[in-house]
Amino acid sequence: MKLKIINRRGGWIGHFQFLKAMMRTNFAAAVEYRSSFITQVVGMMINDSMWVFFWMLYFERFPILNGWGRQDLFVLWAVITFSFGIAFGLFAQALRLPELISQGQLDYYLGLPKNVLLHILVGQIRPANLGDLFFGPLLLAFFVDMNLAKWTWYIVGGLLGGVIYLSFFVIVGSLAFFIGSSEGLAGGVGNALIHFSTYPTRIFTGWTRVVLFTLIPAGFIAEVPVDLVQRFAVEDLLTMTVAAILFGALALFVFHRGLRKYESGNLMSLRS
Amino acid sequence: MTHSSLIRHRPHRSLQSELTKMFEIARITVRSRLRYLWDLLGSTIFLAIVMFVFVRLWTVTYESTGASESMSGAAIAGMTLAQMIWYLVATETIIMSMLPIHRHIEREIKDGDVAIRLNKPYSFLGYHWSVFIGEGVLKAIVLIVVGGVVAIVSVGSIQFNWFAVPALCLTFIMTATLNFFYGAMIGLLAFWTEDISGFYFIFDRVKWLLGGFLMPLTLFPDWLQSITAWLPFSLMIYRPAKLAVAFSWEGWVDLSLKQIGLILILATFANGMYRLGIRRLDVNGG
Repeated sequence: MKLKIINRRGGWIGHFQFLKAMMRTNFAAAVEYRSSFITQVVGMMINDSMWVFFWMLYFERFPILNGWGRQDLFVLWAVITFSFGIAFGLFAQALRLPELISQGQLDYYLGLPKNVLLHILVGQIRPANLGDLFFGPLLLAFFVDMNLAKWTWYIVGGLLGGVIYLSFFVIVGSLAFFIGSSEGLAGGVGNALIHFSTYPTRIFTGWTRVVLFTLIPAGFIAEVPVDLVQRFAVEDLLTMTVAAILFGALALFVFHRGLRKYESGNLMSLRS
Repeated sequence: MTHSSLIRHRPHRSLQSELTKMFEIARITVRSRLRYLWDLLGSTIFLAIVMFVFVRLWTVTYESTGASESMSGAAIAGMTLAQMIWYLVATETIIMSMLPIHRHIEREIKDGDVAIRLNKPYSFLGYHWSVFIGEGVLKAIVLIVVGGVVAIVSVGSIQFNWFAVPALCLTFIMTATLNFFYGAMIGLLAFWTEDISGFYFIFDRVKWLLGGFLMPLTLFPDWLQSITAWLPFSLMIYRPAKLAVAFSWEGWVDLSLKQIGLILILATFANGMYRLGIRRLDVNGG
């Protein structure tokens, strides 16, 4: 009943309240299976810890990697896990976008008065990636010398990184509108972004760097936020903000342009 | 009839007939996967990306320590840059060729499909092992080709003993078998817990890290090397991969004996878990 009232409101406030209500419902549904929820969250945090441990071993042997030290790598992992947790812990259905489109499962969202893309994205949370969301700040708190300014830029950089992650997956997922089944392509390109962003992009040179700041924007997710936290410069903040806005706008454009080509799956299904 | 009585009343099956069935299941798996060869090739693009990142990481590392190939093949922890990259091709091939067997087994247990296999004339673990090996061999061939191309283009080839190929094929089968039983044991936990993903993350990542998946164990600090020497994970990744880039018959015999021993232990545990778990199974309907 509460959702019905919220649905009648439009604009930003309406969207925000809708988002809040959906998140609350999603969380309630996820923690219903308490032990599963906890195992997934803790499991992912352990998974992240293992990667950080790998880098600790690496830096014990090789203290400097193209100007980056161990602390920079900790910040990198704190940022990318936080961004990834926001993008796919809270808006997990972005990962299923190509499947929803190619199987004609958007009918349900098209029949409702809320923004279609927003409604799809908030359709599900993913407990495992919430583990990422919690891991980032904990890593910083325990292993990096932080102050208020650094925390601020960490949160700003992490949020903007989350927007870029999410936008990128919406863009590649929306390709399903144009080319039909694109799960393989979207998965492959998405994995490439994730993989590139878990390594210091400073190890790349030439055209690879150009790609990492355009087609596969791992540089904006991994390198710029680390510089924001460790060596703050206004230009980095502006660059990252502009990148997040551009990728966000491109995601909206591609999705809505593609939606015009959408063909219903004529699915008869009930959702509770 | 209960499930345990179904197990007890199974007719006696000879080892030869079991092996024939397993071979046939593996052969059918290979033929079925060959139908989707393009899909298989598509998934190897990710390996090319992974290898590209590794090539950059280790090239920068070797350059920064002054041990790059330009310095007459100087080595870090006993490996030249080319050997390091080929070692990583081998570790990636081992890991990426493996089916997520824990997930398959978990799904069968959760959906109750495990009951369907009870009255089939083959063992549950034997069936999954055959599928695992069949798909693993096919994937490994494709992965070696893709990874090998990236390695040759970026760092060139290394000295390779071609006479060792049959021995290395056997090592791959035994390595895959070890990884199968390890993954199967994680999957079989689904008999006791509603979600195994947490356990999977813990056990699998420990295997990755302490097995030398991301870097050779010789780069670890001494205290950690002495710990990994007592753990089974190096037999699942590091030692087979190291053997592929620096083969020796003594090393092969030693590794094979240790792998056979560990396979027997893990197979016994996995079989025990299956037998205990199947007693807890309740299936309704027909």
